[in-house]
Amino acid sequence: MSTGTIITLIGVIVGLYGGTSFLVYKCVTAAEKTEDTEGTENTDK
Amino acid sequence: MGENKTASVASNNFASRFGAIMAIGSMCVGLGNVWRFPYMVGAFGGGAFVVAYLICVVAVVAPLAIMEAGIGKGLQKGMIEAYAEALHSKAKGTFFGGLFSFGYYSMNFFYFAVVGASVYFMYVCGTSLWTSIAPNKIYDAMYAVPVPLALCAAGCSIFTAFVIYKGVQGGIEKASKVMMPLMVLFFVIAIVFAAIEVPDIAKGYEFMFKPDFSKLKDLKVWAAAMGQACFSIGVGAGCVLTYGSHLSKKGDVTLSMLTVCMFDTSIGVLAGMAIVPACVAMGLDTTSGPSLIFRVLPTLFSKLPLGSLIGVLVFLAIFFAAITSAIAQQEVFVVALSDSFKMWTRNKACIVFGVVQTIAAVISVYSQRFFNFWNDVSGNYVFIVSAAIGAIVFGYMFGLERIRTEFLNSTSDIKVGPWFTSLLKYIAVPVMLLMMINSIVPLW
Repeated sequence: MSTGTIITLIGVIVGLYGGTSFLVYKCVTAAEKTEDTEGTENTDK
Repeated sequence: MGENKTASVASNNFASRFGAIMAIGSMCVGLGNVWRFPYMVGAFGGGAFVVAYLICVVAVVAPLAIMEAGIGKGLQKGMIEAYAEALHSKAKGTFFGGLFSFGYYSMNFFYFAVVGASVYFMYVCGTSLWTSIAPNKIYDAMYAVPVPLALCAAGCSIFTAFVIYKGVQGGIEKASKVMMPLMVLFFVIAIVFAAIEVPDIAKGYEFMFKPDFSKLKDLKVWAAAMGQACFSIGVGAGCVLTYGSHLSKKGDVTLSMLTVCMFDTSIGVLAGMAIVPACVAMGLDTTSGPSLIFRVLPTLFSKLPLGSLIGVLVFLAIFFAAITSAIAQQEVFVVALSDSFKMWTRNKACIVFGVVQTIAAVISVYSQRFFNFWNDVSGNYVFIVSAAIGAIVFGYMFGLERIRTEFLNSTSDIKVGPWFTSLLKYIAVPVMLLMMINSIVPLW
């Protein structure tokens, strides 16, 4: 594989999947905080 | 009575934010991620296309998706009510919201023939049929005796209606939380397997990822990236709005939708890595469309040791990608009606339109004309028109400042400034409209 392909592959794996995993983690932990502090978040609709 | 109403409405929200991400992500991830995105990456500059795609997502599609989901979350209502609010008229809301949500739902009239085919191929890969039919002839053989395919299509339709009948938390969210991680796992297994078993796999990765940044000067590459991003996330058509209405009113829409957009892109690349490099390395044609899945893939699997097992896993992953989109297509119409008309309860709408789509699914298996008609009408024209009108109505008539301050920033960790309104008004919506026009009358 060429250097450019290897760099792109690493960039995709780290950037895309790392970024997605980080955002999912942020979402999940933020939800836990909300549930801890607000408890009945889903009853206001 | 009031408590019951509150409880009933609350159960129409996702129970957890992870469930919400999986559910909205599953709505965005569809067959386009599997059969179109990988091809486009290879054809339009490899890594350079991924860069162009990500820029399009961040600059145009994600803001539109955040806006649309914000409206859904703020109103906690479906398409008809959202159009009624934007147009200040219940009658206009019923017309546009009803028409477009039906248009989106009517994609299921032909879609189940494709979803059913993925189940059929899963069955073929796992049985002795695998060795008795030439791999590239399985698709034709399937239509020569269409009863099994019709049963698969009808079964998928009934399963879709059942998931929706079980509700947002007990059906859609639960199903997405199971299907999405499994889909990712199966694609990863296929990638690892191909890396081990396929000789010259590096050649395939060269095809898919070798960056050709000179292609970024070509407007066609940007048009392709933008078109794929718009259609993949499904902005404007109402599905993002409908799933947004299932978010908690205190939910963080901005972060959730950014995550969903990244998730959708990741699945496209993942599916591509599972399919395209192996096909290229084996000298198979990586064309775009159904033929990639139903003609090329069986040939690929037939040439690999343990190919039948990997075939089952990949077709199961494709089934998960497809069925979750089918669920969204029915859910949009069910929510639009049940939110606006007392006579249409959620369960009633689910059963009635479940029956309708099941009959249509069977007809679409037996009649290519019926299949093509709905593919053209709902898959192409209605989707494009509704997305374009949706972008105009929600982008220009709903009140972007209200969306920003009231629906987004009030409950989001990521606060968007007035630039967000300008970005939507002057870049995202016009670009979206241009893409819609380009898909009907190619401009470049």
